[in-house]
Amino acid sequence: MSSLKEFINKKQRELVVVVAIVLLTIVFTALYPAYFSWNTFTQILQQATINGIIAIGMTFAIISGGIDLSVGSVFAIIIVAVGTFTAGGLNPIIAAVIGAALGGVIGSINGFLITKMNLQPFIATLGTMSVFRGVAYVITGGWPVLNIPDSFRDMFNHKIVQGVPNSVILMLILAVIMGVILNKTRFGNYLYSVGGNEEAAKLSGVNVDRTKIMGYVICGVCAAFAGMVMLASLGTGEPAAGQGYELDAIAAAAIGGTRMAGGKGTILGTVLGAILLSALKIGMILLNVDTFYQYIATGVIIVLAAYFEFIQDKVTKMMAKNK
Amino acid sequence: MKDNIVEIRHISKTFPGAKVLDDINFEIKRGEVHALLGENGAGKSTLLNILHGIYDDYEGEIVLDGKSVHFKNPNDAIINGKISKVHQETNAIKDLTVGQNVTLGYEPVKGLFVDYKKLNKRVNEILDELKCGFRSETRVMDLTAGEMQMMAITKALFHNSIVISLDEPTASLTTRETETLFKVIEKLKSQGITVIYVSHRLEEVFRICDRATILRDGHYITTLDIADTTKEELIKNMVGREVSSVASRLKPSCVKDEVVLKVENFNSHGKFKDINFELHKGEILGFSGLVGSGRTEVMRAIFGADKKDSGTLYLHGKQINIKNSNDALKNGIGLLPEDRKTQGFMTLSTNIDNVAVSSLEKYMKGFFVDNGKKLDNCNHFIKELDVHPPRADYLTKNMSGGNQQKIIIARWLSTNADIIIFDEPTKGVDVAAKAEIYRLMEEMVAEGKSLIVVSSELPEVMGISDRIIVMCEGCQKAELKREEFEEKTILTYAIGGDKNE
Amino acid sequence: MMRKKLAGALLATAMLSALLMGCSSQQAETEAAAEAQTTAQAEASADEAEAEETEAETEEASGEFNPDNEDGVSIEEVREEFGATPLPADGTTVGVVAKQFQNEFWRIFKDGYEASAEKIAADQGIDFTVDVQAAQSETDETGQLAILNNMVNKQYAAVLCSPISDGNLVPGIETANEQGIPTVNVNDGLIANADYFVGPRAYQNGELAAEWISEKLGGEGQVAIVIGMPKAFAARQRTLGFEEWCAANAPGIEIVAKQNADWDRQKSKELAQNWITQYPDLKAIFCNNDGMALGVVEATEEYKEETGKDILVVGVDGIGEAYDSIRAGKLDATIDSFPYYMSQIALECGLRVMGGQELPRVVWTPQALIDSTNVDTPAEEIINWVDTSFE
Repeated sequence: MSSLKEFINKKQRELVVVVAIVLLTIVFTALYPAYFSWNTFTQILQQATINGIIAIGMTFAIISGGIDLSVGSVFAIIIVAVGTFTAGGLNPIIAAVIGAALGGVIGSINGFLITKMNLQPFIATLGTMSVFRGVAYVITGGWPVLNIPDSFRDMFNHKIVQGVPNSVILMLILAVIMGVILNKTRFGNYLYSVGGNEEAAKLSGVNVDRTKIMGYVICGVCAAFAGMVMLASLGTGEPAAGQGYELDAIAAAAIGGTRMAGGKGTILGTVLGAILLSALKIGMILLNVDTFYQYIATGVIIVLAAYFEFIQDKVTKMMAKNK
Repeated sequence: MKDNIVEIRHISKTFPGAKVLDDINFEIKRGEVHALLGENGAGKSTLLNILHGIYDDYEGEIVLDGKSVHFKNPNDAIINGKISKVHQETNAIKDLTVGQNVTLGYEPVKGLFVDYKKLNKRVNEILDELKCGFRSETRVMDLTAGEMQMMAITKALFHNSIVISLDEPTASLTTRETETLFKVIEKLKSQGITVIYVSHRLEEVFRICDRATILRDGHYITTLDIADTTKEELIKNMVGREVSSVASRLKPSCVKDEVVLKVENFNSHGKFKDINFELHKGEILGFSGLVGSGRTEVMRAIFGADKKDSGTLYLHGKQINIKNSNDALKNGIGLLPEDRKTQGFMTLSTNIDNVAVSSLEKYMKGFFVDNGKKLDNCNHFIKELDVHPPRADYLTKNMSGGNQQKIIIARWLSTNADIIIFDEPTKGVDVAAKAEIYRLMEEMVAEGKSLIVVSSELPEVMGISDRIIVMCEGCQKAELKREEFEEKTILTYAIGGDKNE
Repeated sequence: MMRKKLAGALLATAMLSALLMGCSSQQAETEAAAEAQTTAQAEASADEAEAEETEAETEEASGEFNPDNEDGVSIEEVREEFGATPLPADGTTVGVVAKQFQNEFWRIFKDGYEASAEKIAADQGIDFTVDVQAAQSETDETGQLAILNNMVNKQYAAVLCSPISDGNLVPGIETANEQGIPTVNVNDGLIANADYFVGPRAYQNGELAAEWISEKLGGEGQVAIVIGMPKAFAARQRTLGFEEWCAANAPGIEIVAKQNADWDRQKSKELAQNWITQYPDLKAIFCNNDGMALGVVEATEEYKEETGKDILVVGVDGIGEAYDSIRAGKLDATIDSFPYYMSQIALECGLRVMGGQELPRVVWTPQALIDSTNVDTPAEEIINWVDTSFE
């Protein structure tokens, strides 16, 4: 019993998002009964995948006390680079490994600018967002990469479970791995410390620079995986892909309870945040809600999520008082 | 006019999981300087926060000048209650002038615009009255800590406060500034203003206070007339048992000949120059000097937290290169920073993580950090160091100053560090915890560790050190052996003089 | 408590700004569109006040200008009526402001201008160049205006502009008008105060698609439309043309859904996935451009593999990838507005205006529906292209 209470206490924020998803499901099902189906469920997961994977990486950057605005551009570089490799006949597994590594290397550039050159994360990644986008165009001269071989596409698109492509499973596996890294490794512990109070972490002997760089590397790796999912999904690699995706990722992390100033956040929360956004979007599409209202609804959800921090605080206090 | 300006009636306050004030009752007389004493965690700050409207959910009643009041926020208290608090760390807006800060939100206006002429005139009048050396037009960033405090008092007077609380006002002041503050307090008293004075420095209480109320563990203990009491009696009431208030060595010195750390020609432009010293095994080396004399900067450079321009460091005779704090940790050097709140602990972390952060490799199970081991280690030190409340899962920021310091000490005891630098180890720490920290230091050196203690409190540095280095304006001014310790000597060096002056 | 509140407030601000940013990228387009409209209207009313006497002009500048509703003529008609193109003076430079070069459509556009100019210079033995520049991206509205202003300052002989939004180039065109530099609005993004409009009839573009789909479906069935964020005129007209044609000519065609996919290929694929399960009887999907259509094809092909059901997909633009997809039997049709020739026509019209010919205000450029039957037919043949002749 007490362990259940402890669990509820610890996972408060995540439970709130789950409740929100359930409420949303009830509302949509009431308005459109076919919403409640295995099909919708798998589509929600599937369409949360790209944003979810980017957001997992974004969570690392935000917990470290920073942000990464360049993920959409990193995403584009990986799409055209891996696209070029595979279209050129490179073994798909090797191409994917190179893609992930490349994402990490690009992420480390952000980390380097932020730590060694002491730039504000917002400004540094705002700059690299533009630089990386330019690089993506340069790689292909602006043209899309065509003819991605099926061997690569099947790696992500093949469905082992009915209706669930491998990319969804990839997101879940990444979520578990990244969750373990965040909670169970020294690096994860350091990341929370650095985000919680950078000066104190430094004066505790934590290698702040290395920790932060590592955070951005993971952010880059996640953007790379998301890029490969999209490449496989479309069979074409466009250098213009992924514009504005960083904001969806930030929104997912925020809804999941990641503290924008750093030091707090979980992968589970972020993934649930991405699923919530996806469920909302699909519900509105099925109801054929006008696009303009969709923007409003999405915005309201984000603001409500932020406001919920206050309500949650108050409820906790009241409960403590009543005890 | 009633004799009692403030009456505290049956005040209780509960935080999640802990009752921090339990049925407090006492009165403060009009025009007196009333000390509020107690160990850290006794409930003084909470009581002040209730009085000044920072907490608005509490049980009981506050009677101010004969009227029952319940302030909703600090501003309500200042404007409607005429009761102001001068904060421990004055929170001023550094880019504005003194006048702008003092009048913030209540600027005199002429039409749509702020009437700066009138504003500065009024503020300068108050500053003159307090005999302050700075003007209303001065930018706050140019003020010293002491002057900032004067500004806060000016603000209280600007709002015609009849009660002013001072929370640890002298903690970051130089001796001279402290003297000035006392004169101002006497002046306020002569104008009929009531002062509530919170401090750990009992000498100060005896100098300027009329009566003292003592709290312990959230309970009211007693109110005493200062004239009829002694330091020992105050301490006994505060801690509930007899302790020595003065830093002193209870065990014999453990200094060995072996040099564990040698600092050679440390320079950092604008901060310090030509720093040379040796630290022996088992030694407690004191660093004295005025605030701003470069002591902290030297320590941060040794620890690798800041870059130095030049200098060599030898550990056990071998030259080492410390590029960052992580290198220091690996070489067994630890640091307890000066300002716990901003540098000491991770705000969002529990005691478990704040203790474990420097020694994570100890709790590994394969690739992963084992949370159980972390918890065990934390609980071990909570018991060993007698941390209150003995809760590993508490957020460190919610603990009292002394207990926060113990958590940070536990952090370094969890590592293999054998050289530990204490920067202002007992700043904002209550008497009983102070004594415990001194005891811990002695235990550490007995185990063969070596300590450097930076302190602005002369009795502390003289009581605890085997040797003292005095700094002044970034230079190493003198090195004193234990038999040469004398307040006058140290002060002379600290203000830049030579011994024979 | 204070601190908590403060932290809360900060957090809220951060969230709000995140929200604002989040919306800005997407909503910028709506806002820009709205802004563009108001700017255009403001400009228009200013013009109105100035040109009160000449009623004809007032009408044109009223902000209601819609080339699709004008009596446009084709380039063949122009050639017939006005004869040969006047030869530009030696050393002439014509400025071209394109949208952006990230999209293939606009790169082909550029190629058309440059090839045409090179040919003129070589054939006629004169020094004649076009300076083709574009904004950094489709959101860089002020950057595009700066390019136009620069060209006006250089006193180019004429400027041919394809604005990002309906309003962003208006001030630059105004300066050009004042200085007597002829201005031609090309393809889409309406500039109310430009002298001429040269481009495809976007409305017809939608009609062509609707007609083709209706024919294939035998006039009956459910269809859906994927729109891009309607910032520029053409996108709005494509959808409108499609809808109105269906309403008037094919009552059996039911438009069951219409959603925005931000011109994003992945988003349009996801939209299609949702629709396919929602409307098992969906027969066709019309997309506002080829990129989105190619995304939709990914979804419909998967569906075809699983269920054997085929859904028609029609795009707009005629990019190379769309042609390839039609050849591969995936995409069913696209409406090609032949950017390579459209730019040549635009340049020809510019030269005619420079030479003093008073063309009709709107010149429509050719467009055609490409499907498996004509995908390998050369474009020249489809539109009967002949190079212009000079005086």
